Amino acid sequence: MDLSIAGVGTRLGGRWVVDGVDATPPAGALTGLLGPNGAGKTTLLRLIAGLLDPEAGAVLLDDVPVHTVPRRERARRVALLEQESSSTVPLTVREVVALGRIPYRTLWGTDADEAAVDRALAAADAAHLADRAWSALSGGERQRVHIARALAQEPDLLLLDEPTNHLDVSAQLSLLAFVRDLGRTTVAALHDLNLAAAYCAHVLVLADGRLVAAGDPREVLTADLVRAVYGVECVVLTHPRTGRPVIAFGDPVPAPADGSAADAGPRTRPSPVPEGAR
Amino acid sequence: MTTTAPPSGRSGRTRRRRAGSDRPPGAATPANRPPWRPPLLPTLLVGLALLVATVLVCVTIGPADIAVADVARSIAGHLGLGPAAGADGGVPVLIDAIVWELRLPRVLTGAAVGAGLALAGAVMQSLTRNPLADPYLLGLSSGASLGAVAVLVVGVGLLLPVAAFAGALAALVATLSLARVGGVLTPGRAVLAGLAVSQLAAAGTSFVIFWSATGDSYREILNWLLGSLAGSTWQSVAIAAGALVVVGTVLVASAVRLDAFAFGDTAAAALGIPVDRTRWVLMTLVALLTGAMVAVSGSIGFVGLVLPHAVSALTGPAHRRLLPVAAVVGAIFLVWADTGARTLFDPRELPVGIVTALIGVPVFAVLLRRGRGSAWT
Repeated sequence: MDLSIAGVGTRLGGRWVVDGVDATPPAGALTGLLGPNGAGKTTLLRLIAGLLDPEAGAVLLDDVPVHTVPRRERARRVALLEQESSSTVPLTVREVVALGRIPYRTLWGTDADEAAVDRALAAADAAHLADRAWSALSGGERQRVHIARALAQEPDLLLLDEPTNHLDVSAQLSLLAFVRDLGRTTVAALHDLNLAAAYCAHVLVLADGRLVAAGDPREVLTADLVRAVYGVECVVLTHPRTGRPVIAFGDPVPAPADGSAADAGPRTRPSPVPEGAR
Repeated sequence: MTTTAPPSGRSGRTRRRRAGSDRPPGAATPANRPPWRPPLLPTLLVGLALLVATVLVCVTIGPADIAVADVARSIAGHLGLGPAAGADGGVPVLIDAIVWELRLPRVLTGAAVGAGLALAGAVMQSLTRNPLADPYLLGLSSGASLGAVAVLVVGVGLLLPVAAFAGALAALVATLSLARVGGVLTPGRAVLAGLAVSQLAAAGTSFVIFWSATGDSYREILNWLLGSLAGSTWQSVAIAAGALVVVGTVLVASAVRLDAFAFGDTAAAALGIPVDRTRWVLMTLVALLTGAMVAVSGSIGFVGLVLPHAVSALTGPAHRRLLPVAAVVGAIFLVWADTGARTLFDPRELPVGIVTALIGVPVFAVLLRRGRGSAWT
């Protein structure tokens, strides 16, 4: 499945929150979507998922604009996991995963989807959770179950919005390793630059709705870029075992008086918060 | 999240099964047990059999002693399946009149209203992702009462269900708009807004009746505000059952769409559901159903709030199972509640809403206590 983001843009409240983004995330690999809070990551994911109609450009799935694909068919090809997805409904894990079969259901859904649910649970390494109450799971287990739900949609394209939020470090690492090894085209919005550097084959860096850099994280994630986009001083090291970049953060840089610190993009004011430093 | 220690016999097995999960052992919860859920079709058939038995038995209960066999013979006579009343082998005319003209319409109206309110509550709870949503709490019932009372005063009884529907819809729009003022729609805000709308509509209803009623206005006000099936006729049966069949069918057919709302609007949209259209169509249908129910019975509380929770403890939250079973249980529940309302303090009659509250509140307390409320905060 070929995913191509072609000059896509949309406004919210008159402001272009995503503005002319052009990118081609590689097929069958994990692409990290980076950028400070409010850079437009979630909106771009919604545009890629076809949940939002673009005001400019289009997101093309195999050369077809995704927002023109009928809803049910789209839901069979693209799965989106939101940030902070929770429910007050007393569902079991199996029932949560079965929600992913809704795009395949007819009026009176049958149990024919059970096999697909089992496959998704196994693929997400969540089979042992199947009979548990969803509300009783830990944060890491919940994310795993959400991924199983997305996999139950049998999508060609998986979109994850900050999947590692609120997870402990071991859960973060195992989740991203798992997603990377799925071999499915995946775009994941990430806050942690070191996680992106370690696990993503490709990264897209957004600032103020524009794409300011794209490519292999080993080439893209430089001290200059981090300073320009996040407004944070850092040193980019090389991991002694993996050869991947490791970013050691320094202090936030003060806002420049002339508003032109950004040589990598149109951003005029660096964010005061060092995102990856948490 | 509760961290109650598991029963000793289970903990070993639970721990072994949890090996490899990223959660430390020893934090097992009682919710670990795979829930047993009865198969849908047998459950429904048992429920329907109980409903038929409930109808036959409750028609016999009342000041005039009537046997179940007489009820059956009277119904058979009217359906042309047996000798007519007064004829050779038929029931006496007086008994037939009590069964066919008084009690049966009332019992059947009660069954339809109970089923409709339970359905309306279950659907509202899912659409608003608010476990406290029900037509009564969100003001729909009171709005419908106001609409109904207003046209009754003007004297166009034929428009009664239409006016009740308009009142319910207006109350729904008012509640949701009020809840959204200056912020996002949260469950707590929706309930508070519903309370305000409900009180306003109830005050309006009381005012209209005071202004216009000549006779026993207090009783009439109570009947609209607390609900009563005392005035049921075959026309009530037609209105309530008609709305139940038409709207209920669509709601049950929307079960899968309702399931998709469990994780919110974006998740539903990502599953291919047209979120806005689904929400407005289904909410309008709930208002229609509520309007029809209120037009024949006033605003009866607690059925829509409590029954879906109680039934989902048995069926699980999947709407394909929950909605039909909730409808049947709602029907049985309200018929018995109304039978209590008209006989417990004979010859006085209670508004049935008092009985549903008397039963509903303790049930609600039990549900809260059982921890099903842990996700409600």
